[in-house]
Formats: sequence, structure tokens, C-alpha cells
Amino acid sequence: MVKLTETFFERLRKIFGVQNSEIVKILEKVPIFSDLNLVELNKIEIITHEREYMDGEQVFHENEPGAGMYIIRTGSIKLIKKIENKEIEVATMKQGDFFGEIALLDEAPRSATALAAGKTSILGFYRPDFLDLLKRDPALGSKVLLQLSQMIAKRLRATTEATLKGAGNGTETES
Amino acid sequence: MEPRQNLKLWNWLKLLGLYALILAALVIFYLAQDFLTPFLIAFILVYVLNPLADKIESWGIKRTWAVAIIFIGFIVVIGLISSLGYESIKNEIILLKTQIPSYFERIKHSLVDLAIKLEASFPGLKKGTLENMVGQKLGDIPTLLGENMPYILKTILGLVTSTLIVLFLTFFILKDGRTFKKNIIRIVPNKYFESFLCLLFEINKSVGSYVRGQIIDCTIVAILSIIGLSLIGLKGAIIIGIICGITNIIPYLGPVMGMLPGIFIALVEHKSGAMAGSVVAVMMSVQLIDNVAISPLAVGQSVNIHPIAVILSVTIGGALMGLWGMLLAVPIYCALKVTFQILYKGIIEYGSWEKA
Repeated sequence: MVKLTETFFERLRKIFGVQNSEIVKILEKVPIFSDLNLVELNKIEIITHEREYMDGEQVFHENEPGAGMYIIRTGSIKLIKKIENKEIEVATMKQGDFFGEIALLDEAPRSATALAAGKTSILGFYRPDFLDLLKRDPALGSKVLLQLSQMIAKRLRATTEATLKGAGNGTETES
Repeated sequence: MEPRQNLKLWNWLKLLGLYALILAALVIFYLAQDFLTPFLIAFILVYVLNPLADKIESWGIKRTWAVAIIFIGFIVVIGLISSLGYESIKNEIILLKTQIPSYFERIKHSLVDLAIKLEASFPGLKKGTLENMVGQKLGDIPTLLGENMPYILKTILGLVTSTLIVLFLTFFILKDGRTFKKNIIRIVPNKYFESFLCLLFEINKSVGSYVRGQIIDCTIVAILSIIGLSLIGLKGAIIIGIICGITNIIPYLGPVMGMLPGIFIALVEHKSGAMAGSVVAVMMSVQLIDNVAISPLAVGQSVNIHPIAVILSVTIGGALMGLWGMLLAVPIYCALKVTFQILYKGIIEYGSWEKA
């Protein structure tokens, strides 16, 4: 019985053009899209760009203006930061991870360089498309915006706490 | 570093391909201007209707249905206008159609008179030379029209097909434009992708607001001209008003071009200089109202271009591609301006346009 209803819904989805595609499956794991239903995820899929990178190819460069966030489909990405003329690897991102989300909000310079490690396929979700979405579909746009703000609020809180703790101890902490 | 070498080459190839594509598009555009007219009109319509489609879509209606609703509304409005204004427009067309041959006759007569007078005052000229020349050059206008009837019919037939093509193109570009765009910009190399996307967005914003503003502006100018010209009692006021609205799209030169048919009708049909004077007065006041009140609101500060730049680009556009060049000059100038602004900002603020 359960299977029957499931196939029925599968059919309905196909009729209305809503698909549970591979990209949708990646998108639904990203926190800023976690509130969205299948139809809305499909709308997001339409405005994402699939980009292919070769080994060592640069996704974006530190201090360049950012234009959007990236979600890794396959492969991995290294984030590198230049501190006092030394290149330090900050993080390595794997499939399903995302980075560069702050660039959705403003054109501030990137805080690190992103390089592809091995053949990598990523999904780009860019500010122009996001702004367009906010205008075209305010309900969906504000859902994404709310999640994005909550994520940043959480980070800000963590940073503030770390700073306060550091001030109390009289020692400098890295944040 | 074998793969890196390949990467560089691949990126260069992609970039070259993109340039070649743009160049080919421009060449095709230049060579096949006439064929591309429906495309251009469709693009202008898409620019105008796109915000409306977005608005309807934001109510939760699928894009296809949103576009269908706009089309149905469009057809209903056109139907209403033509059914309401059908009689008067038909009368004006009939008037012009029956009058134009006699206009030409009258012009010919006055030219012949002028020629005779000139010959009288310049004794050095041989008698009848100028007169014959005028007669030969202008020929017999009604027979000329009659001979060209198949051609005129063909033009009308062409007009109907082009209208259908324009509607067809507008529908699909409006419906699938986003997918088209996504597929086209897919070939942009990774390195330039972010900048390219932002650039495209800014160009779209600037050109879109200019085109939309201009269309609204022209509609209002057409309505004002029709009212003004009807008030002074000019024959064919509706058609001449519409011509004024259309020519108003061309900045600065357009209004002058739009004035000419009105003056022509006033001089030939009404045979009065006073009428021509009032036509000029009406047009000038319409332009005044437009420049003071309507244009700042409709086109607004969104497109901040210096008048000298406008006149220069319109002249260059006109020299290169005639009427279409004049129409497209300012939007193209807008796009170029935005491009250079962004490149300049990138170089000055980040100093990294060609880094890495």
C-alpha cells in the first residue's frame, strides 16, 4: 500500500515536471536550502550553474570580489590563505560541502583562494540569480535568505563568545 | 606540469571561441539586418514584458502560464483598441490613401510653377528644360502606385508573417529565456565566469530599465501628440501622433523627424502656414512636457548618460546601420559603459583582473 502511494506520487511528480534529481539531492543537504520542499528545490536547481574544474584549477582567488557560493558535486576543493607570504591550507572540502556563501550577500573580497584538487564538479549559486529570485519569487527567496542569516548569526555569536572569552582570559584567540 | 599546460590552452581556446562567437554574431547582425528585424522587435518586447512575467510568476503561477496570461491580455488589449479606434483609424488611412496621389500631383504642379518662374527670372536658362526635368523625374504617380501594387501587397503579406514571427519569438524567449541564457553562458571559461555573470546582470539591469522607460515615454508622447493634434484639428491626427511616438525612441533627433509628417500634412492638405506653425507649437509643447515631467519619471536616473554621448552614439549608430543603428545606439552605449565601469572598478579596487 505504501509502495503504491509512493509510485502514485512519483507519477504526479513526473507529470508536473518536478524531479528528485541528483542535483536536488545535493542541494537539500545544504543548510541554507534545508527549509525548502521538492518543488522549491527544483526552482533552485534551475538557477544553479554546473561548472567543471580540472586539477589545480582555481575557482576564485583571495581578495577578488566574490559573486556567489559553491556546492561540491564530485571531487574536492582546497581553501588556501596567504599569511605573511606563506600559503596555508585552511580547509579541504568534500562532496556535499559548500563554501563562499557570504558572497551571496555582498561583493566583499574573498577571504581565501579555492583550488580544485583532482577533477572536480561543483554547483555555483550566484548573487545575480539570487537577487533575481528574491524579486521573482519573494516567498522562496526569503526562505533562503532567512536560513542564510541564521547561519551567519550563529557564526557571529560563536565569534563574539570567543572574543569575550579571550578578553576575559587576557590572551589573544584566533577566530 | 602537463595538465596545467593543457588547462591554460583549454581556457584560451574557450575564450577565443567566445570572442569568435560574439564576432560572428555581430557580423551576421550587420549583414542580415533586415532578417533580424523580427528578432530585435521580439527582444524589445521581451525586455518590456519580462518584469510583468516575473510579477505574475511571483504569485506562484508557472512561467508558461504567466507568459500565456500576458499574451492573452496583450491580444485582448490590442483587440479593444482596434475595435474602439477602428473607424477613425480606417478613415484616416483611407484619407491618406486617396490623398497621397493628389499630394504628389500638387507638389509636382508647384514644382513646375517654380521651374517656370525660375526660367523667367534667369534668362540664361533654356526654356522648358527645368519643367521637363521635373515632369520626367516625378512621372505619373498614380500609375507608379498601380504598377507597384503587387510589391505593396507582398509587403503587407510580409508584415503579417513578420508579426506572427515576432509573436512566436516573444512567447518563447519570454518563456525559456532563462534556460537559453544559462546554456549560452555555460561556455564561458571558469576564470571569467563570476565576473561575466555579474557583468551580464548589470548590463541587463541598465539596458532593461532604459528600454522599458523609453517605451512608456513613447506611449505617453504618442497619446499627448494625438490629443494636441486633434485639438488643433489636423487631419490624420491619430496616425501622425503614433508616428511621433515611435520616432521619439530616437533621442534628440527623433522628435524632429516626427514633426515632419505633421508639417507636411499641414502645408499640403490644409495649405496653411498657420497650421504648420501650430503643429510645430503642439510638438514643441509635447516635447517640453515630456522632457520636464515624463522622461525623468519614466527613464529616470537609472541611465545616467551625458547628452553629448547620446548624440554621438546616435549619429554613429545612424551612420553604421541606419534607423536600427539609431534605435540601438543608446542601449549599446549603456552596455559598453557598464562593462568599462566594472572592468575599471575591478582594476582599481582589486588590481586583479588578469591575476593568477
